[in-house]
Amino acid sequence: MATKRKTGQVLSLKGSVKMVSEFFEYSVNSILYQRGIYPPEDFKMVKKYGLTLFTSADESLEAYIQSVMKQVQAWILAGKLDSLALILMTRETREVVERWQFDIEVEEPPEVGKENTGPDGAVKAAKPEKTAEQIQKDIQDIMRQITSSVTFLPALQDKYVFTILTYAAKDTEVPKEWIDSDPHMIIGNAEQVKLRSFSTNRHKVKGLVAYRLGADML
Amino acid sequence: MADPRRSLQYEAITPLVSSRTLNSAAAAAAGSQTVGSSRLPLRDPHAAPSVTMTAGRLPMLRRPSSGDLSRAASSGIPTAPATVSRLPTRRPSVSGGSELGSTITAPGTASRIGTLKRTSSAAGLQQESELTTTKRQLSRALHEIEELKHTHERQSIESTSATNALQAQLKEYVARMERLERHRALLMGKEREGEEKEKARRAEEESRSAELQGQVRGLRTELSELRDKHAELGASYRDLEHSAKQATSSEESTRRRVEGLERELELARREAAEASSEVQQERERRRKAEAELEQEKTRGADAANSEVVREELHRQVSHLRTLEKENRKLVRKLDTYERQHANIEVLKETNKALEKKVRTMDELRSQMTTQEVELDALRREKKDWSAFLGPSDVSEFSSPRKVTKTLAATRIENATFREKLDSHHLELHKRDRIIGELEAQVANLQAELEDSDKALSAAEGRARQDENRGKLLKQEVEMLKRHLESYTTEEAVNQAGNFDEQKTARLAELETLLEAHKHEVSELSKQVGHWRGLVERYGGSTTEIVDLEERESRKKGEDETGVIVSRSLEEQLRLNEEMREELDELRNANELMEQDIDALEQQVASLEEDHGIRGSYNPETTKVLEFRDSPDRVEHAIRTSTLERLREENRALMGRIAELEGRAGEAGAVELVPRASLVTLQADLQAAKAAVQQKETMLKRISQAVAEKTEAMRMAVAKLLGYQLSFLDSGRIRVTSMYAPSKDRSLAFDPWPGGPTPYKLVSAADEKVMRSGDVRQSINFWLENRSSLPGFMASLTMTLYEETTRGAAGGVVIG
Repeated sequence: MATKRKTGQVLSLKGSVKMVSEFFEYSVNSILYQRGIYPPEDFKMVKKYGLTLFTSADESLEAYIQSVMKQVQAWILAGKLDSLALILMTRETREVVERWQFDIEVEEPPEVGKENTGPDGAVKAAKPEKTAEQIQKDIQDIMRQITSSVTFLPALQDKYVFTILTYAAKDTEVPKEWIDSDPHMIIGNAEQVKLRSFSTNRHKVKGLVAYRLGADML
Repeated sequence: MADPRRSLQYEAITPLVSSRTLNSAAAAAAGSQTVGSSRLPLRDPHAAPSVTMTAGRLPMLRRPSSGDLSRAASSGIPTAPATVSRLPTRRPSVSGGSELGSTITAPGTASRIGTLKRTSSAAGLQQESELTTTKRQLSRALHEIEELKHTHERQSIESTSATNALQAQLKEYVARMERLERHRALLMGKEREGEEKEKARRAEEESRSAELQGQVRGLRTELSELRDKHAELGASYRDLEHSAKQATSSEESTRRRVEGLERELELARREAAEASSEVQQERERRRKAEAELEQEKTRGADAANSEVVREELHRQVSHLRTLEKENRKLVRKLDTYERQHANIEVLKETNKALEKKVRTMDELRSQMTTQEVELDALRREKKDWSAFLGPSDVSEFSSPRKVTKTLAATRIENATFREKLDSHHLELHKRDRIIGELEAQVANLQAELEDSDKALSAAEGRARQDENRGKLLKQEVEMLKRHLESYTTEEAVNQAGNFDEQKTARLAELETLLEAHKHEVSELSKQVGHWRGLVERYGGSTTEIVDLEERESRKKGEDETGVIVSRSLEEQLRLNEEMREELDELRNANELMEQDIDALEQQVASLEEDHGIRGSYNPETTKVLEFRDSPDRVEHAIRTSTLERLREENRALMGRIAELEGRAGEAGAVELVPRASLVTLQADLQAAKAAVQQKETMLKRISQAVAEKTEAMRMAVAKLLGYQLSFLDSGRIRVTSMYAPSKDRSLAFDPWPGGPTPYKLVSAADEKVMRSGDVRQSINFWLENRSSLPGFMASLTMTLYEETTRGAAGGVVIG
């Protein structure tokens, strides 16, 4: 009964999954726009998380991202997804220049029934539950960080392509549209920067961007 | 029973009779109705006649609003209400009728009842009078009844007359109807007849038209036939004409030909004659030749020759055959070679691919060798590492990490040991110093001992002397005692208890003195004994002995309290020592842990790097997946397919080039330029052209912009300063004033690098400007004296302006 009462405040598992996958979708679109993988005229402006973001208007790209996100949603729901990585590589040589990785940690939802009654309520209160506004604020911060990361990432000059990798558990059921892949590591000197993280009380998402250093920077 | 039929008839008639006639008939019926039956408004023309027929039918035919009429009919007044109901006003008439009936009867009965009541209560007179009154009343009532009867009769008569009239009317109607019916039947008959006639006519017409159409068709066919015939005839006519013409012309030509032929015939005949003669001659010649041949044959001289020829022929034939055989062989070989060539091409391709692979393999091999060298180095290193490891240490040193860890631990231990050692050394030094001090002390003490020995021996000597003296003294004492005894006895004997006071006192004194001496002696001897004992025990210095003595004596004093304190102190010290050891151990452990932490942090950092940059993962638990149609894969697929296609094309082209080269080689021509280079050159050319085009357009745009700019500047100068400038190729500038009387009058300036003004006035296109006095004056004033071109120009403008306004009036042309 207590859980039923509380579901209004604590995000349900499905809601959390939806939020995470939505975040992935917007962040992928945002990265593709910010890093100039596709021409800017292929994107349209949308209002989301209280920000103006760009999402692709290219049909094939949209379809690709949608189908990836659908599967990702299913995997997160089953708790099989460890992380999601967006790989940028040059068109000519397929060398990886950037990896945007988002790790997902499954968090135990706070036990609602005990919290109000037991004496350990004070202990639990130390870790306050996040409200939807708080989560939105965190996501907004990450989006801002993605946008601002253009300042320290090396400038991209050639033509690039991208792919999305998923790190799933070994025993995951894999649809036939998905195939095994190599992890697309960055070869040579590289640097990495951690992004902010956010939590929905159910899932914690930690961002990371790694990029290859140019030869002139050695 | 007639009305429904009639109404049916009406309805049946309506389609046949025109609406107008129907309306008129209805109007006529309505008119007769209104005439016959007061002013009852006609609700329904069809229902109106039935109203007049029976009152019982009313509720069925009329609207329910007249229900009270039927009520009136059932109340026993069959006809009167009917007539009343037919009265003009609808609203009060019906109810009024029934009220009328009740008011007629009610007063009479009421009064009668009232009078009856009175008679029962009043006297007989009154009864009589009442009777009379009642009689009177009765008679009056009878009278009234009579009257009513009359009226009733009148009414009935009226109604019968009315019904009669109505019946008459009805009859009339019926008659009329019948008449109309008859008319109608007649008309119907006529109509039907007419229709039939019409039909017959139409049928006739149709048949006629069909006939006509048939005729028309026939005529048309005839016409077409005739036309055809006509065309045929025309054609035949034309043919005939043509043939006639031909015939005439052919006749002409045949005539001519005949003539020609005749001529030819003549010629031929002549020729034939000649030919026959020739043939004759030829025959003869032939015969001669045959005879010659016969002769030749018989001669047979050619036999050998022909043999040679035959042989040669044979040889040639056989040679030819061998050649053919060879040729066939070669062809076969060629086929195989060609096939092989194709195979070789393929092999070359594969070879190339393999070479590439080999190159990569070589790279890999070199990499491998370096790796092996590295591995060797590492192994050696490992051997070095494990040189001091026994088989028993495996568990402890299973990994380099553990080795280094133990190394670190031992190092730390070592350090602590060294520290301990240092502290021990220090302590030792301290001890040494203390020992030195003690030794010095010992030397001192020995010296002291010697001194004390000497003193002892001296003391012994003295003691011996003292002893001797003591002995002597004892002997003296003995002697004195004996003296005393003898004296006392002498005294006792001499004076029998009467002895000298002085003498006894002196005696006692002496005795005490003696006692004191004795005591001293015994003390001394005791001391000597003690010293001797000590000397015997230690055999050392006297000071030490003294110290010992002191200590012994002190110990004896302190023993009771000191034992406890020292014991607890010792315990404390021991505990302290233990604690220190423990502390050291803990410090070691701490240091080790810190190192461990450092190492682990490094490991964590490297692992994180791996995670982020290399995207490493645990293959035991995780797998990396990718969507099959990711943009990267799609792109790659397209690229590989394109590459494959191009490779194929390249191969085909190479084959073609080889073929062409082969053909060219056959012809002995020069080597062909590869088409690819031509294509690349063309592409280069195209690119260069494009670049040139771009440059040109850029140049054009720039020059356009410059021209526009200069034009704008010129316009600005013209508008602001009133002079139009035109730059000539020679560098000369032609200046035309706005106020110049004509456009072809202008001044010219040349650049004048060394002069007082940057430009030099080089006369004008027309000398008239110069001839003007004002102009000459201003030249003189501005240019020659002040060397100011702008001033001159301005003054010229002023002058010209004045001239134009004035000049227009005066008709003088200056400029």
